[in-house]
Amino acid sequence: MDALRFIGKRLLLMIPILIGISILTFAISNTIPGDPARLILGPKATPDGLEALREDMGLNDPLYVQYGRYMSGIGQGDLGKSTYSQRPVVDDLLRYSPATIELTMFAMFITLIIGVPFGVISASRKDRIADQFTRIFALIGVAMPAFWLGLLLLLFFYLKLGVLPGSGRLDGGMSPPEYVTGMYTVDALLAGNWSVFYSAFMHLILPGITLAAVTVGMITRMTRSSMLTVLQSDYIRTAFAKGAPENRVLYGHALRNGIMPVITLLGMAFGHALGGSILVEAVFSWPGLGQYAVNAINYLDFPAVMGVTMLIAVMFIIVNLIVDTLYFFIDPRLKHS
Amino acid sequence: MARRIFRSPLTVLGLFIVLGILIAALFAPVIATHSPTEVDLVSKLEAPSVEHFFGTDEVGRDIFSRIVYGTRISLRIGLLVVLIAFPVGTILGAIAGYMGGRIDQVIMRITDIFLSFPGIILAMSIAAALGPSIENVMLALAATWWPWYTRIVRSSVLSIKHAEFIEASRALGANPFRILFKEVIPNSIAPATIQASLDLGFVILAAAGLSFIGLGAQPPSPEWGAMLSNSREILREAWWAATFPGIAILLTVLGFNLLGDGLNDLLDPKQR
Amino acid sequence: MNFKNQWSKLFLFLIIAVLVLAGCQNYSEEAEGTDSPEGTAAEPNENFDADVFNFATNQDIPGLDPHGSAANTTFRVIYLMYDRLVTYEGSSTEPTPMLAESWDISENGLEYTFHLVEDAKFHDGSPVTAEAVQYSFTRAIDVGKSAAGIFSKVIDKDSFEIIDDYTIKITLKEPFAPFISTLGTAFGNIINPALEEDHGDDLGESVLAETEMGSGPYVLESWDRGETMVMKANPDYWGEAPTMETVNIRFITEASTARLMLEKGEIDLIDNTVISPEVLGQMRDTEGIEVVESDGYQIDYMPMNTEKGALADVKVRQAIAHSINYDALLESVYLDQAERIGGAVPKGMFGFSEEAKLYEYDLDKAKELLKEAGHESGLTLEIAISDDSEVRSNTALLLQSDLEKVGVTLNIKTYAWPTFLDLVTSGKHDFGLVSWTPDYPDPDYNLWYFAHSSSKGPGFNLAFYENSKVDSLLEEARTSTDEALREKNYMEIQNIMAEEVPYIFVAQPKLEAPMRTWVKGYELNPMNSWYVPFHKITKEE
Repeated sequence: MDALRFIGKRLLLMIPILIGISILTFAISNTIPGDPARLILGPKATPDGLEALREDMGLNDPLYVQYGRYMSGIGQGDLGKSTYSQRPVVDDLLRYSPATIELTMFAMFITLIIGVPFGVISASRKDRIADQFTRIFALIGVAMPAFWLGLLLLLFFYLKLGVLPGSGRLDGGMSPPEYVTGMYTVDALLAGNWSVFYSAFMHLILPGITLAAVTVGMITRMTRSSMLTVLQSDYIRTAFAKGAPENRVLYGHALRNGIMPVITLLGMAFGHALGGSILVEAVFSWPGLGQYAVNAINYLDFPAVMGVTMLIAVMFIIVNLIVDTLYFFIDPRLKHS
Repeated sequence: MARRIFRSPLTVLGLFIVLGILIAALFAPVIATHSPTEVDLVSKLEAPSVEHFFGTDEVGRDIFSRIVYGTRISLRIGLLVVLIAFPVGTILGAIAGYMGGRIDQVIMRITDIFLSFPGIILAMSIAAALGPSIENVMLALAATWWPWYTRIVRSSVLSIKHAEFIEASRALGANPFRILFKEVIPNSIAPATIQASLDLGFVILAAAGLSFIGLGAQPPSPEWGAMLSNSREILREAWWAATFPGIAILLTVLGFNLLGDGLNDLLDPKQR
Repeated sequence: MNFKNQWSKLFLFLIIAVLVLAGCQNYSEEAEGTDSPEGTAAEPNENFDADVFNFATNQDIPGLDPHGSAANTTFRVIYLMYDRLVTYEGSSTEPTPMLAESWDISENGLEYTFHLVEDAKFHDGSPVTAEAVQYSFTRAIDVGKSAAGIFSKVIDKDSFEIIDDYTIKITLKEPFAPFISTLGTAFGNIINPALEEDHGDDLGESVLAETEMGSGPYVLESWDRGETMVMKANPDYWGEAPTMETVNIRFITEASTARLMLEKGEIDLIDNTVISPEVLGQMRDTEGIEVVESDGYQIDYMPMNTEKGALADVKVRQAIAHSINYDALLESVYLDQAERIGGAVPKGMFGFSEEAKLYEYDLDKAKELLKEAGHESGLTLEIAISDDSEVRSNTALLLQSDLEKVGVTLNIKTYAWPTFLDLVTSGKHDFGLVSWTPDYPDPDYNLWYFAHSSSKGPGFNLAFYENSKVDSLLEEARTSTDEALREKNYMEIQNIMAEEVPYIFVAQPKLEAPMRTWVKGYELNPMNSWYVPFHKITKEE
């Protein structure tokens, strides 16, 4: 019951945040100089056509009317029509978001399987060679401009070695699996189509690594510092003193207690990866929300800008809600406070 | 204290890198061998040599000199963004944590809004709305950066809020703002300061990312991200044109990170 | 011991990673051949497929409505999914028959009678008739977007007379010499009138955003937005059977990635606007890759705002024209793959002026002119560019360094495209840099946009140039059918403009597209470079 109340309260809190984000986005995108109608029509437009289109798009109404119209649309699940693609924004988001979600989740997976062990190693060997090595390794990932790293990976693994594909989500000529989640790896598995799964998975590797480079660093650092604290605690010292095997103490007792702050950070890392995906998507021609957002801003496609901003915000909030809920269940102290 | 710093070779490395950058920025005109902006078409895309340490770019500018002058731009971006975001975030975080109640609620909701707002979209919109310039990029970065300080400071304020010395000042009837600025903030600012030193590097990295999508520094300014981004197409023919700016960014971020980590280990008593 | 234990784990992990990668070796079956790009030519490339064409572009396709879109990427695909009354073949800019077998033009230049081919069928099997022609042009005007901008000047809904199923007469409101040429543009594509049933409240625009209703050599097979569009050959095409069975239009946003994929043979041809001249120069030497070239009608020009500040003074504009080192610019930015022209009509097109004055690079003269204009002590101006072109940003850099030598400080401002467009069409700029390609090969196109006073700003007269003599010469030439008179007028206009320099025509670049050497029979069209006739291209290894 407590848990439900906790989740319910958090979901309610989403509403003011989303309203705030919508106002902010609306305000900023409407201060961008430029006339969306003119962009659609191009230089050959007739003045009459331009005026008619402006009227049609509702651009002649005062801003608060436009905003009100937008928000009442959202109430009915209508995010408006993209001025660029002439399609409902909802359809566009359903098309572009699975690619980003798939990539981001894969990057988070890489982050966990590399970041946590590295952090543990680093903490247990503090100030020794292993510590210095893992820290430098993690830091280089953090410090390298993502688009540069992406290009170097492409040069090496695609051009030089030829072991990984270069761009997009599938091999040329391969058709995507039937749309269920929109994530090609998942959909291919559901359809039992192994060759599509293999291709989709291979295409994930390079962009996934590029995107994970930053978050691996974040997680390694957090694991290290959290583990350092735990390793100082009495019961761990006692365990070591009793001669328990190091690995069991480290990964069993210590990590279980040290993982909490790491999980919290994972929510933030997810947000970071979502933001970072814009650059990575550009390098690997990954048809995700980042590409969609860049396109939307470049064409003053306000409904699309609003839609994509809100969606990314919602995803961010939900992931953090999941993280906090996990926290709630794992950490008994919270339940009673 | 100095001894403790020197015990960790990585912190020392970070210190040297940051010092090196500071020196390069301060004495750029002395260190640079050429003008950072002078176009020289005769010697375009020359490989590194004694004349041009890091080679030349597509319009014949000396890359070494551009990188040296670029330290000024990068440092300015990093410092200014942190100098805007840090005080704003800190003060809001301290108020939220110390005052609590409705004020806390409002501040934290606003913080949440900015935290969940996709940063790059915000930056792109601001750059599109206000025009392209490095100042607007800094504004955009600052707008996405302050909430982190708010959160950090708020939580450390919460942990000292009921400490004796603060209760004591309150009991003495001191002005709440006086307590806030004289007692609360100075005693809860350490974690945020560490974060700020890390952020000096991250801001520079973020600015480079924005250059990649065409926002930010205007030509011919020698901003590293723009240099890297502009030469990426000829990476294979003229590796030097992209590689050296890339390494410059890498080293800078690395330097500030190592220094920040060192500070963290130093200031955090649990990890001594 | 413990130390070793941790390290051995890490080591094990790395070994597994390497093994996984090694296991993927068969991902690319001729991995050993790809160690060096040169190695690929020796043995057959595994990516070669004679029936499938992979085309790479970096710009997304917004929709497929011939009347609603102004995007070149849309033009490229709808050119193949639809047919037009006339078309442009190969590198020719002369309209040739397509759906219209032949046509007659009345003496007064107002009545056009088209005789349609009788075996053309839309993709749903219905015949392409005179009614479809009437429907298409009427809809173009009703939709009121790009296509209307071209057609509504000269035709309206009453212009059509259906004589029989395969004969239609179009009567113009006033004579318009380039009319036939406009019919070969993407706006002139003929749409299946069955669309009328799906008009909804937007004339079927949301239908055509997703699908096509044409009669062309290709049909839309699938479209994963932002990723790939697949077109399949139309088995029932009325004309010559398409050579290429499948065409994949792939969106590859990063130019360097597209280049890598071309080298691997995964891509056959890259959109000619993607790769910068500098890189093209490097690609010429790559085995298996060829850079196909053609003269182009594109002009890269610099409008100078004649209504604002110092540039309002013709002396200042002339001084600017004298202070640019054109040769160096063409050499270093365009790698000499461009020519300089004096007027707005590109070389090779009817109306091109050989005599239009080319300003020589003369710093003394420039300084003198600036002195006469009262700017001895220097001048600060701004050049606006959009952020999508290496060529333009390098050009701006060189201009900056050239103008500095005559005491003019030039600030470069890079804008996103919509902001740029807003800035230059509302006259807030000093200089701009723009690339422009006419839609049909007639001097009326460029000159009306650039020089007529009614086109100021939004009409793309970005210099805000106004000269009543030029206006009346343009109006006379547009409505005349006398070629000699038209040519004379266009020459005169270009001479006047060369003297008053509202624009500097920096370069007329060659069109260059990198492709695999196995692609045969592809020529770039000077005017419609986005028209890639996949149905006539073959691949031979």
